[in-house]
Amino acid sequence: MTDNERNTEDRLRDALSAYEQVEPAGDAWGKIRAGVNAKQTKRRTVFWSSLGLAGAAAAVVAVIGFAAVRSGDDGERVVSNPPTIPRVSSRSRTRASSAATTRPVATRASSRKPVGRSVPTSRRPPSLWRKTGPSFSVAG
Amino acid sequence: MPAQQPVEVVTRDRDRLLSELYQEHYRSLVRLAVVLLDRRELAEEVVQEAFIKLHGKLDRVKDQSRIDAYLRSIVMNLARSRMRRRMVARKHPPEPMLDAPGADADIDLRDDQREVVDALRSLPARQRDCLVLRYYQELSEAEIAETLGISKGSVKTHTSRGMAALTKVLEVSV
Repeated sequence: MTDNERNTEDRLRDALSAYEQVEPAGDAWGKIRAGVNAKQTKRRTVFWSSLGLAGAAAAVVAVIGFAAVRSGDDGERVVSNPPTIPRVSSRSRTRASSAATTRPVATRASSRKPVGRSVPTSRRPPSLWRKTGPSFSVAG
Repeated sequence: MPAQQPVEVVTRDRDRLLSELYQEHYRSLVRLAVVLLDRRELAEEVVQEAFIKLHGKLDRVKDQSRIDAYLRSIVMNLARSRMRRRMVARKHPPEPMLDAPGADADIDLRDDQREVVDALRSLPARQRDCLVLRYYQELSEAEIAETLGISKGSVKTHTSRGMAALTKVLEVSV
Protein backbone atom coordinates (compact mmCIF):
# COMPACT_ATOMS: atom_id res chain seq x y z
CA MET A 1 0.00 0.00 0.00
CA THR A 2 1.40 3.40 -0.99
CA ASP A 3 1.55 6.44 1.28
CA ASN A 4 -1.22 7.98 -0.74
CA GLU A 5 -3.40 4.92 -0.25
CA ARG A 6 -2.64 4.94 3.48
CA ASN A 7 -3.70 8.55 3.54
CA THR A 8 -6.86 7.66 1.60
CA GLU A 9 -7.57 4.90 4.10
CA ASP A 10 -7.39 7.39 6.98
CA ARG A 11 -9.58 9.86 5.13
CA LEU A 12 -12.07 7.12 4.33
CA ARG A 13 -12.30 6.03 7.96
CA ASP A 14 -12.72 9.64 9.01
CA ALA A 15 -15.47 10.32 6.45
CA LEU A 16 -17.35 7.15 7.31
CA SER A 17 -17.12 7.84 11.02
CA ALA A 18 -19.38 10.85 10.39
CA TYR A 19 -22.23 8.38 9.83
CA GLU A 20 -22.08 7.41 13.50
CA GLN A 21 -24.21 10.48 14.14
CA VAL A 22 -27.15 8.94 12.22
CA GLU A 23 -29.95 7.99 14.59
CA PRO A 24 -32.89 5.89 13.39
CA ALA A 25 -36.47 7.02 13.95
CA GLY A 26 -38.14 5.71 17.09
CA ASP A 27 -41.07 3.76 15.62
CA ALA A 28 -39.00 1.31 13.56
CA TRP A 29 -39.84 -1.78 15.64
CA GLY A 30 -43.57 -1.06 15.31
CA LYS A 31 -43.20 -0.86 11.53
CA ILE A 32 -41.27 -4.13 11.43
CA ARG A 33 -43.92 -5.87 13.59
CA ALA A 34 -46.67 -4.51 11.34
CA GLY A 35 -44.79 -5.70 8.28
CA VAL A 36 -44.26 -9.17 9.76
CA ASN A 37 -47.96 -9.42 10.72
CA ALA A 38 -49.08 -8.28 7.26
CA LYS A 39 -46.82 -10.86 5.65
CA GLN A 40 -48.09 -13.63 7.93
CA THR A 41 -51.71 -12.68 7.24
CA LYS A 42 -51.00 -12.68 3.51
CA ARG A 43 -49.30 -16.06 3.76
CA ARG A 44 -52.24 -17.48 5.73
CA THR A 45 -54.73 -16.09 3.20
CA VAL A 46 -52.75 -17.58 0.33
CA PHE A 47 -52.60 -20.93 2.18
CA TRP A 48 -56.35 -21.11 2.81
CA SER A 49 -57.15 -19.88 -0.70
CA SER A 50 -54.90 -22.56 -2.16
CA LEU A 51 -56.49 -25.14 0.10
CA GLY A 52 -59.98 -24.02 -0.99
CA LEU A 53 -58.97 -24.15 -4.65
CA ALA A 54 -57.45 -27.59 -4.19
CA GLY A 55 -60.65 -28.77 -2.47
CA ALA A 56 -62.81 -27.38 -5.25
CA ALA A 57 -60.59 -28.99 -7.88
CA ALA A 58 -60.76 -32.32 -6.04
CA ALA A 59 -64.56 -32.06 -5.87
CA VAL A 60 -64.78 -31.35 -9.62
CA VAL A 61 -62.48 -34.29 -10.37
CA ALA A 62 -64.58 -36.52 -8.09
CA VAL A 63 -67.82 -35.46 -9.79
CA ILE A 64 -66.35 -36.01 -13.25
CA GLY A 65 -64.94 -39.38 -12.19
CA PHE A 66 -68.24 -40.43 -10.68
CA ALA A 67 -70.09 -39.40 -13.81
CA ALA A 68 -67.62 -41.30 -15.97
CA VAL A 69 -68.00 -44.40 -13.87
CA ARG A 70 -71.77 -44.07 -13.95
CA SER A 71 -71.81 -43.64 -17.70
CA GLY A 72 -69.69 -46.77 -18.01
CA ASP A 73 -72.19 -48.64 -15.87
CA ASP A 74 -75.06 -48.58 -18.33
CA GLY A 75 -77.33 -50.53 -16.07
CA GLU A 76 -77.07 -53.51 -18.27
CA ARG A 77 -79.34 -56.31 -17.28
CA VAL A 78 -79.44 -59.64 -18.88
CA VAL A 79 -82.73 -60.62 -20.34
CA SER A 80 -82.96 -64.26 -19.73
CA ASN A 81 -85.28 -66.93 -20.68
CA PRO A 82 -86.10 -66.43 -23.38
CA PRO A 83 -84.04 -63.71 -25.01
CA THR A 84 -85.56 -61.36 -27.43
CA ILE A 85 -84.18 -61.02 -30.86
CA PRO A 86 -83.82 -57.62 -32.41
CA ARG A 87 -85.15 -57.50 -35.84
CA VAL A 88 -85.55 -54.91 -38.47
CA SER A 89 -89.16 -54.35 -39.20
CA SER A 90 -90.66 -53.85 -42.60
CA ARG A 91 -90.44 -50.08 -42.05
CA SER A 92 -86.71 -50.42 -41.43
CA ARG A 93 -87.29 -49.89 -37.73
CA THR A 94 -85.45 -52.00 -35.28
CA ARG A 95 -87.78 -53.88 -33.09
CA ALA A 96 -87.06 -56.17 -30.26
CA SER A 97 -89.71 -58.64 -29.43
CA SER A 98 -89.94 -61.17 -26.74
CA ALA A 99 -89.54 -64.71 -27.89
CA ALA A 100 -91.96 -65.84 -25.23
CA THR A 101 -94.83 -63.52 -25.95
CA THR A 102 -93.73 -62.31 -29.39
CA ARG A 103 -94.80 -58.88 -28.24
CA PRO A 104 -92.45 -56.00 -29.00
CA VAL A 105 -90.33 -54.96 -26.05
CA ALA A 106 -88.90 -51.81 -27.50
CA THR A 107 -91.69 -49.94 -29.09
CA ARG A 108 -89.76 -46.75 -29.72
CA ALA A 109 -87.13 -48.42 -31.77
CA SER A 110 -84.86 -46.25 -33.84
CA SER A 111 -84.57 -46.60 -37.51
CA ARG A 112 -80.95 -47.61 -37.23
CA LYS A 113 -80.02 -51.05 -38.19
CA PRO A 114 -78.14 -53.43 -35.96
CA VAL A 115 -74.40 -52.80 -35.92
CA GLY A 116 -72.28 -55.75 -35.04
CA ARG A 117 -73.72 -57.23 -31.93
CA SER A 118 -75.50 -54.05 -30.84
CA VAL A 119 -78.87 -52.76 -31.87
CA PRO A 120 -79.90 -49.28 -30.88
CA THR A 121 -83.56 -49.34 -30.02
CA SER A 122 -84.24 -45.81 -28.95
CA ARG A 123 -82.51 -42.48 -28.59
CA ARG A 124 -84.10 -41.34 -25.37
CA PRO A 125 -83.69 -42.92 -23.00
CA PRO A 126 -80.63 -44.50 -24.57
CA SER A 127 -81.36 -48.11 -24.91
CA LEU A 128 -79.29 -50.76 -26.48
CA TRP A 129 -79.76 -54.37 -27.14
CA ARG A 130 -76.65 -56.43 -27.18
CA LYS A 131 -75.97 -59.95 -27.87
CA THR A 132 -74.01 -61.43 -25.01
CA GLY A 133 -73.41 -65.06 -25.53
CA PRO A 134 -76.55 -66.96 -26.20
CA SER A 135 -78.77 -64.28 -24.69
CA PHE A 136 -79.42 -60.63 -25.26
CA SER A 137 -79.02 -57.94 -22.71
CA VAL A 138 -80.65 -54.58 -22.53
CA ALA A 139 -78.89 -51.39 -21.48
CA GLY A 140 -81.25 -48.91 -20.10
CA MET B 1 -27.92 -25.54 20.89
CA PRO B 2 -24.87 -26.47 18.81
CA ALA B 3 -24.04 -23.91 16.18
CA GLN B 4 -24.29 -26.34 13.26
CA GLN B 5 -27.73 -27.69 14.20
CA PRO B 6 -30.73 -26.44 12.22
CA VAL B 7 -32.61 -23.83 14.18
CA GLU B 8 -36.03 -25.14 15.17
CA VAL B 9 -37.74 -21.86 15.71
CA VAL B 10 -41.40 -21.65 16.56
CA THR B 11 -43.21 -18.38 15.98
CA ARG B 12 -42.71 -17.06 19.51
CA ASP B 13 -39.01 -17.84 19.43
CA ARG B 14 -38.74 -16.25 16.03
CA ASP B 15 -40.29 -13.06 17.37
CA ARG B 16 -37.93 -13.08 20.33
CA LEU B 17 -34.92 -13.72 18.10
CA LEU B 18 -35.96 -10.95 15.74
CA SER B 19 -36.39 -8.58 18.65
CA GLU B 20 -32.89 -9.41 19.91
CA LEU B 21 -31.41 -8.91 16.47
CA TYR B 22 -33.23 -5.60 16.22
CA GLN B 23 -31.84 -4.39 19.55
CA GLU B 24 -28.35 -5.43 18.61
CA HIS B 25 -28.04 -4.53 14.94
CA TYR B 26 -30.76 -2.16 13.78
CA ARG B 27 -28.88 1.08 14.41
CA SER B 28 -25.60 -0.05 12.82
CA LEU B 29 -27.43 -1.50 9.81
CA VAL B 30 -29.30 1.77 9.27
CA ARG B 31 -26.00 3.63 9.36
CA LEU B 32 -24.51 1.17 6.89
CA ALA B 33 -27.49 1.63 4.59
CA VAL B 34 -27.22 5.43 4.87
CA VAL B 35 -23.60 5.23 3.74
CA LEU B 36 -24.75 3.32 0.68
CA LEU B 37 -28.01 5.12 -0.06
CA ASP B 38 -27.35 8.59 1.41
CA ARG B 39 -30.93 9.02 2.64
CA ARG B 40 -31.88 8.07 6.17
CA GLU B 41 -35.55 7.41 5.40
CA LEU B 42 -34.72 5.18 2.47
CA ALA B 43 -32.06 3.42 4.51
CA GLU B 44 -34.55 2.74 7.31
CA GLU B 45 -37.07 1.33 4.82
CA VAL B 46 -34.42 -1.03 3.48
CA VAL B 47 -33.36 -2.24 6.92
CA GLN B 48 -36.97 -2.71 8.06
CA GLU B 49 -37.68 -4.70 4.91
CA ALA B 50 -34.60 -6.81 5.64
CA PHE B 51 -35.90 -7.64 9.14
CA ILE B 52 -39.32 -8.57 7.73
CA LYS B 53 -37.70 -10.81 5.11
CA LEU B 54 -35.48 -12.40 7.74
CA HIS B 55 -38.47 -13.23 9.97
CA GLY B 56 -39.92 -15.40 7.23
CA LYS B 57 -36.62 -17.16 6.64
CA LEU B 58 -35.40 -17.75 10.19
CA ASP B 59 -36.40 -21.42 10.01
CA ARG B 60 -34.11 -21.90 7.05
CA VAL B 61 -31.02 -20.36 8.63
CA LYS B 62 -28.95 -23.42 9.46
CA ASP B 63 -26.34 -21.74 11.61
CA GLN B 64 -27.61 -19.37 14.27
CA SER B 65 -24.20 -17.74 14.64
CA ARG B 66 -24.45 -16.55 11.05
CA ILE B 67 -27.83 -14.85 11.34
CA ASP B 68 -26.30 -11.39 11.67
CA ALA B 69 -24.18 -11.98 8.54
CA TYR B 70 -27.30 -13.16 6.75
CA LEU B 71 -29.23 -10.08 7.86
CA ARG B 72 -26.38 -7.83 6.72
CA SER B 73 -26.31 -9.53 3.33
CA ILE B 74 -30.08 -8.94 2.92
CA VAL B 75 -29.50 -5.25 3.70
CA MET B 76 -26.65 -5.04 1.18
CA ASN B 77 -28.72 -6.74 -1.53
CA LEU B 78 -31.76 -4.56 -0.92
CA ALA B 79 -29.60 -1.42 -0.86
CA ARG B 80 -27.94 -2.44 -4.13
CA SER B 81 -31.33 -3.07 -5.67
CA ARG B 82 -32.58 0.37 -4.53
CA MET B 83 -29.44 2.02 -5.93
CA ARG B 84 -29.98 0.28 -9.25
CA ARG B 85 -33.59 1.43 -9.30
CA ARG B 86 -32.48 4.95 -8.50
CA MET B 87 -29.92 4.92 -11.30
CA VAL B 88 -32.66 3.89 -13.73
CA ALA B 89 -34.90 6.61 -12.34
CA ARG B 90 -32.09 9.14 -12.86
CA LYS B 91 -32.05 8.26 -16.54
CA HIS B 92 -35.76 9.06 -16.67
CA PRO B 93 -36.09 11.80 -14.06
CA PRO B 94 -39.58 12.77 -12.88
CA GLU B 95 -40.58 16.35 -12.16
CA PRO B 96 -38.31 17.70 -9.39
CA MET B 97 -39.90 17.77 -5.92
CA LEU B 98 -39.10 21.13 -4.41
CA ASP B 99 -39.67 20.08 -0.83
CA ALA B 100 -37.68 16.83 -1.07
CA PRO B 101 -34.61 16.74 1.21
CA GLY B 102 -31.26 16.66 -0.53
CA ALA B 103 -28.68 13.91 -0.34
CA ASP B 104 -27.31 13.34 3.16
CA ALA B 105 -29.76 15.88 4.50
CA ASP B 106 -29.52 14.23 7.93
CA ILE B 107 -25.74 14.03 8.07
CA ASP B 108 -23.32 16.85 8.69
CA LEU B 109 -20.23 16.15 6.65
CA ARG B 110 -17.23 18.45 6.36
CA ASP B 111 -16.19 19.32 2.82
CA ASP B 112 -13.24 16.93 2.88
CA GLN B 113 -15.47 14.16 4.19
CA ARG B 114 -18.07 14.92 1.52
CA GLU B 115 -15.34 14.67 -1.11
CA VAL B 116 -14.35 11.19 0.09
CA VAL B 117 -17.95 9.97 0.29
CA ASP B 118 -18.71 11.25 -3.22
CA ALA B 119 -15.57 9.55 -4.54
CA LEU B 120 -16.57 6.35 -2.75
CA ARG B 121 -20.00 6.38 -4.37
CA SER B 122 -18.47 6.81 -7.81
CA LEU B 123 -16.73 3.42 -7.51
CA PRO B 124 -18.10 0.17 -8.98
CA ALA B 125 -20.63 -1.44 -6.62
CA ARG B 126 -18.45 -4.37 -5.49
CA GLN B 127 -15.44 -2.16 -4.73
CA ARG B 128 -17.61 0.30 -2.84
CA ASP B 129 -19.31 -2.47 -0.83
CA CYS B 130 -15.97 -4.02 0.11
CA LEU B 131 -14.53 -0.69 1.24
CA VAL B 132 -17.61 0.20 3.28
CA LEU B 133 -17.74 -3.18 4.99
CA ARG B 134 -13.99 -3.13 5.63
CA TYR B 135 -13.50 0.47 6.76
CA TYR B 136 -16.88 1.28 8.26
CA GLN B 137 -18.16 -2.01 9.62
CA GLU B 138 -14.59 -3.17 10.35
CA LEU B 139 -15.36 -6.68 9.06
CA SER B 140 -12.70 -9.24 8.25
CA GLU B 141 -12.17 -10.49 4.70
CA ALA B 142 -13.98 -13.71 5.60
CA GLU B 143 -16.98 -11.82 6.99
CA ILE B 144 -17.13 -9.56 3.94
CA ALA B 145 -16.95 -12.61 1.68
CA GLU B 146 -19.85 -14.21 3.56
CA THR B 147 -21.91 -11.03 3.47
CA LEU B 148 -21.41 -10.45 -0.25
CA GLY B 149 -21.46 -14.12 -1.22
CA ILE B 150 -18.05 -13.99 -2.90
CA SER B 151 -14.66 -15.57 -2.21
CA LYS B 152 -12.05 -14.11 0.13
CA GLY B 153 -9.74 -13.68 -2.85
CA SER B 154 -12.35 -11.57 -4.61
CA VAL B 155 -12.78 -9.45 -1.48
CA LYS B 156 -9.03 -8.83 -1.40
CA THR B 157 -9.00 -7.88 -5.09
CA HIS B 158 -12.05 -5.59 -4.88
CA THR B 159 -10.74 -3.90 -1.74
CA SER B 160 -7.28 -3.17 -3.13
CA ARG B 161 -8.63 -2.04 -6.50
CA GLY B 162 -11.23 0.07 -4.76
CA MET B 163 -8.64 1.71 -2.56
CA ALA B 164 -6.41 2.43 -5.56
CA ALA B 165 -9.35 3.87 -7.52
CA LEU B 166 -10.46 5.98 -4.57
CA THR B 167 -6.93 7.36 -4.16
CA LYS B 168 -6.83 8.23 -7.83
CA VAL B 169 -10.19 10.00 -7.75
CA LEU B 170 -9.20 11.99 -4.67
CA GLU B 171 -5.82 12.93 -6.21
CA VAL B 172 -7.55 14.20 -9.33
CA SER B 173 -10.02 16.24 -7.33
CA VAL B 174 -7.12 17.88 -5.40
